[in-house]
Amino acid sequence: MSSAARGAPLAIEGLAKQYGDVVALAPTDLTIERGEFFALIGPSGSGKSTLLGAIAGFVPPSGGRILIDGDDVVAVPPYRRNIGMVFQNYALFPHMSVFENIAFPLRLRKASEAEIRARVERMLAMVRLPGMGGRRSNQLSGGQQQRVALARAAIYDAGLLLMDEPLGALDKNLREEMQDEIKQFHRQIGATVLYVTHDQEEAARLSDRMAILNHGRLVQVGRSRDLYEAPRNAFVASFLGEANLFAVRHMTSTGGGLAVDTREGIPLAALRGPAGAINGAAVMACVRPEAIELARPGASGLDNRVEGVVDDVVHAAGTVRYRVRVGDGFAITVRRPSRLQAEDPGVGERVALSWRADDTLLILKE
Amino acid sequence: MAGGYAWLLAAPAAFLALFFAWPLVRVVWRGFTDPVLGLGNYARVFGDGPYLRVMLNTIETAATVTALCLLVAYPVAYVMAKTRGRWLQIMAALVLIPLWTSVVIRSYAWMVVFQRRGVLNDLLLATGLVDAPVSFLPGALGVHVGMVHIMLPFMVLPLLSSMRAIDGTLLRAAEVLGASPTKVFWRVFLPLSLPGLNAGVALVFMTSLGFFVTPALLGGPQHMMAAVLIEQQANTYLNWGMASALSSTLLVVTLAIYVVYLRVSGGAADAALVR
Amino acid sequence: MTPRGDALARAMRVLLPCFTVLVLLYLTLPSILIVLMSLSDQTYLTFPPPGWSLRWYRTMTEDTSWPQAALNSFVVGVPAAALSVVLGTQAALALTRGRLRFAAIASACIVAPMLLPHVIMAIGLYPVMLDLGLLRSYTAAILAHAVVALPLVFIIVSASLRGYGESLELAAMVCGAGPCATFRHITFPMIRMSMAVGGLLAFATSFDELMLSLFLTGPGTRTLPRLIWEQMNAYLTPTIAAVATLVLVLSLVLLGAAALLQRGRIEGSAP
Repeated sequence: MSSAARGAPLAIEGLAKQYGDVVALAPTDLTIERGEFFALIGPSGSGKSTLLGAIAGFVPPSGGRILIDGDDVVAVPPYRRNIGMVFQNYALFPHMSVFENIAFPLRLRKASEAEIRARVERMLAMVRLPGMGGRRSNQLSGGQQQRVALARAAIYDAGLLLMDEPLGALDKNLREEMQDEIKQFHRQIGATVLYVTHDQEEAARLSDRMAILNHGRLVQVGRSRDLYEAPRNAFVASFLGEANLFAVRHMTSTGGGLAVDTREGIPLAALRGPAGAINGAAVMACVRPEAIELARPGASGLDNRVEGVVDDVVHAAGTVRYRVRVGDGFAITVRRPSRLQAEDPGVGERVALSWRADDTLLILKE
Repeated sequence: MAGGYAWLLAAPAAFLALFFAWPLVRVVWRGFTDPVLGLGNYARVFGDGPYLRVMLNTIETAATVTALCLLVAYPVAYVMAKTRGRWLQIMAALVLIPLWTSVVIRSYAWMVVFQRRGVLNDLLLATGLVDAPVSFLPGALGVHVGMVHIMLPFMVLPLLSSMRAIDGTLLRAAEVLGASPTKVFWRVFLPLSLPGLNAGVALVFMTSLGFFVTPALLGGPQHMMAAVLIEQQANTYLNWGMASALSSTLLVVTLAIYVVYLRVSGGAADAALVR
Repeated sequence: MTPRGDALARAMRVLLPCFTVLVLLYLTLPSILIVLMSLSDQTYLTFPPPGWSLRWYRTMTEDTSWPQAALNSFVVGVPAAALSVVLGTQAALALTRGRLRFAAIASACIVAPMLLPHVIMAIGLYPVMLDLGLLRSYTAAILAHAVVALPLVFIIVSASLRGYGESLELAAMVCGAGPCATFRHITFPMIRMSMAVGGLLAFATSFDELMLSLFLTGPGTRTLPRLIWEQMNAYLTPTIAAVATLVLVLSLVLLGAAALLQRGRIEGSAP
């Protein structure tokens, strides 16, 4: 698109928000590159909305700086920050037509009638709503309303687009369709996008990088794959996908790696210790369910081996999830691709679980 | 940003401070100082004289009217809550029309009904229930009928809005679980209609305490209520000290009910009261 | 499933609607009586009237005090309603959007004038208006009526503001609208119907208010309810019924207008 804006880099320095004694956001540093699609994820109450609100200008921070394209905007009111924003419930103006909704920011910027007409029509085509300008927002479907909201946020070429759980109200199929559209839209307009969601899968599909928040703190920042493969702590490991977590009692160095003694009574073999020098008590071992091989008892296996009894089997959309009880009843989840007519072990059968030493991730407890 | 709207409170707050709070302060102050500083007025209010009797009668009448309104309004609101479409509109209009008819005029209409040669006596004479016209005025009957008539919509409307907000699936769930219709009503429907009931009771009780027109026209000296007495003290006897002391007493009673209501309803004064 | 309970429920299904019809009759009876009596040809009040005539409507128009009082009611009611709308809307905005810590207490205080007996306010406002030199002026009645009508506007506009949430205004701000532009383009269009309904109810409150008028107006500024009250204490004639009928008609017109506006409000604010 000819009007594609160059994204603005965003830098957050020591940004914090407190309500009385309650810390909504601990001092946080974060840098987002020009044109990057960045996701903020975390459970509700983790501070992601506070962070977004502070960047938009709705929440006055208790301290810190927000630099958009190098300028500190903390003292700038929301209407002068020139940020685009898509709200969770769309926040379309019900008393205005679709056209007027999208034209609203341009009218405030005193654009000429001809320019408004041209730009809104172009934007309507871009969000695949050509000819719908005369409709009222309540005559549109959820997905269409979402596209109007996108168009309104992007029409004035803001360098930074904030999106607050924009797909939260849509059902699953439509949500996936809209994810592709948002990604496409981002490529076309080129703006920096900060996207808040509690859905880690959505974040993984859309974003270049993501940040995970918990209890008002930024826990880890990185690419989806990095976070999954090298989670910093147990929270990240279990928030992104499934994780079998073992409490580590102590670790001893062996020839090629580490021998790990766990509270669950299952000895583990690992390759590397956790990032950062930490005493054993604060460490956990994480094994992803899909890293675990399933075999008959006695069969030769990988570095880590444990036997147990299948407790539960669930077939769902191409994968089989087993819950296997080992030792004193500790349950290990195993996920394998489901193959047609395969002779999978059933409930009550004894199985051997095994995985490679480098699939035992040693991570921080907190 | 957060404080952006807060300053809008300045003008209404100043207005209410000057023309609502300040007058109330003057009333309370005057009750203690006019004609002389002291508790003289209150000694008379709570003494043996007619004043205490009027105050007690006011509270008793307001309580009776509230109870009657609740008994009458609850079934009506229940029927309205179960009705849809045109019939509901007609019923709502019939409830709203009296609300929009002047209180003075409605009390006047009840005079026509209850007077010696009024509608009720005509009816009683015609049916042979009595031989001579009965003297209803002034009397308690007229006051109660007239006041309930005026307050009834204020009980029906909050009840109705509360009942209409009840999720029908809850009632069906209770039925599925084996509760009889009577039990569903007492255990599920009634508790869920309590917000409207509380609002209606508070509204009717507080308004009834200040009734003037109906008791003045239909009640006479035997059934005098506080507002009539206060008006008389001020306008007829020019005894503003006494009028102020009586007003302060009425104010305390009304505010006490208001505070109880706010506690019960969880503090949202505006949310529950209308609509 | 007790059979007794079911029998009771069945009986209620018949009894309750019958009861409701009786209550609705009771509610409408006085208004009907008034209309019929205003058409009586007798000088004393009786029902049913022995004959029909329009003489009391003529009497009413011949006596200049009635039109004067009706005019006074408008001169007081319209500014009182306007003042309540302006102040009530400001209060509603401040308390629903201002994030004030003491919002619950403030809203209880703003609603209070509607709930406290008017006679208390009349006793208090009389000396205040006297001090201000406003006693028996239109201004005194306007200010007093605005105090008791303001809560209605406040309640209705607050409900409307809560109805659509804050995100529309935040969205407008992000789009570049300052506080004034946000109010003009978003808030006002969203709440104007409620403001109009509130204004109508405020006018109706003022139009029906007796106690404050009794204390604060004078012979030249007395409103319709006050004149009806004075006439009623002096002599009961069907003239009052004629006046009452006209007031009733006006009230019904206002009620209809409010109902239409409200319908518009609901349609206008649907998401």
